[in-house]
Amino acid sequence: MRTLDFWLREAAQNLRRHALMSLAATGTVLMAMLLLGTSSVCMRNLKTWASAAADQAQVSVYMDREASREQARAVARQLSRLEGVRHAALVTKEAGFDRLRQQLRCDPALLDIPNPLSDAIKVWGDRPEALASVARTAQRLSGVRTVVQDRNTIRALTMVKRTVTAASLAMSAYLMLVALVIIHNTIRLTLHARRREVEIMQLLGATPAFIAGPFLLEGAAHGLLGALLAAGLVAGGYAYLLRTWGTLLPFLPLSSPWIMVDVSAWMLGAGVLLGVVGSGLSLRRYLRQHLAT
Amino acid sequence: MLEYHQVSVIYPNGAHALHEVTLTIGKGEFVFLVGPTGEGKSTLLRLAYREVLPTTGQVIVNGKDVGRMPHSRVPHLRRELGVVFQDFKLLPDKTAWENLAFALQVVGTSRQEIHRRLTELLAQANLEHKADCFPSQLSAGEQQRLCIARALINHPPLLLADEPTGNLDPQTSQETMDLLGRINLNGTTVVVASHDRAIVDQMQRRVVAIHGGRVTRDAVGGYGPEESE
Repeated sequence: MRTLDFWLREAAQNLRRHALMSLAATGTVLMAMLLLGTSSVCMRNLKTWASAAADQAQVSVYMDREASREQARAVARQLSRLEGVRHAALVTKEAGFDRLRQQLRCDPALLDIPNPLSDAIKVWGDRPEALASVARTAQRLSGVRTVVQDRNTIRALTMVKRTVTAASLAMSAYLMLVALVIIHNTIRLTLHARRREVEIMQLLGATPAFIAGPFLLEGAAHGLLGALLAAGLVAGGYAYLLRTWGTLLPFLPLSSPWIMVDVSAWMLGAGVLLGVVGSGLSLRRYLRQHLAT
Repeated sequence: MLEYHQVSVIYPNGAHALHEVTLTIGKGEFVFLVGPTGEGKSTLLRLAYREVLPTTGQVIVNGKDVGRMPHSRVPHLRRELGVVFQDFKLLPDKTAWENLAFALQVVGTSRQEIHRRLTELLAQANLEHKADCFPSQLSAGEQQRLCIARALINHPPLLLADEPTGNLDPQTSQETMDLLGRINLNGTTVVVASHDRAIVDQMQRRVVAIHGGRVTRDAVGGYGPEESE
């Protein structure tokens, strides 16, 4: 408890007395966390859009014109029980024709023709990949004439979703690494600037852990402060974007502002972790070199 | 208290600092290590608190073999010794009070105890009115007294002083030596590395002369004619 008290006071004093160095370290964390937070928000929205688009993917199953309504209902029931199917809905030929008429009401010549459609079943999957096997099964069912599946769209959406996830992970890992290297170097510079202090501590009988304490806390403080500022800026920026986005691209809605709670928590955790790990690595190296005797 | 057995030190640059030095300093003694600069006096002291390791031989402090001690025990060894450094080694951005408190915080002393001990120590060192001054605001004599006060803070049985009068005027040097003499009277073993002939001659204590990394004389008395600077 006494040691923790000493560390806290020592770290606070060092932060105050070496304000410029602290500012530099906090600034680098701020920049790294700003990049990390912004990319995280962008990636989350991209993933949401990709998922939403993928959810729209469907298979259309068209019945024979001679098939009865009961047969169509049976096919819909069978399809809805298949694995990977979220929903299967029967669209009767009458409902389909009504919809067609509405869509083509600008062309009066088409309004008086007899109904050319057959009953159809629209199938939505849990995930786009599952629809391929649904289509194959549907093709074999009795009374089914054709099955239409937009394979290219589904494939493209699946790829976009995977790419966005992978890019998000890679980008985050890269930015964390950059921030770690920056903090590592900043604490190395701090240690170099205060090598005399560390040497005196060692000569007075301070253990390596005792010497490391205030530096680790300083690293954590830089990380926390930088991440807090970055989280504030990202949250502010996102709030502004949410206000203006609706008028710009109303058909592509942004994720709820509550994602910022999650993103901020990640940023704070990552900031503190970066600060502690970065300073820990520098300390390990420094104390090893200077404890040769 | 402090023993050197056949100790040799060769620095990484190949310089031979000590050649097979054998020396025993008993409990309660006051010993001067004399000789010209760069002949091995400071190396002998630095061996005791393991800032330097012996290339061959054994260094025993309070019955413990310093050379064979694991890294983890070195901080504990240093807490049992008081060291007055030639360049004082005061923390420049800490006040006199904080510099002293630091040595107690390192060993986990409570805040109340630190307050009680420091008030007493600063009064003894005649620095109570300078408690809030930074080292740069103190005179050389005051910095030296602060350094000695810090060395004594944990009541060490052995005090090592490397050229404690090196940066001081004759009067302040005399005061410093009087202070070390009083510390020795209280039972602390004191080892002083010095090339201050006047002080050594005046004190008339045990004098160990070091020349070329070897002990050339070990007797009670003055500086001696052969140990010219």
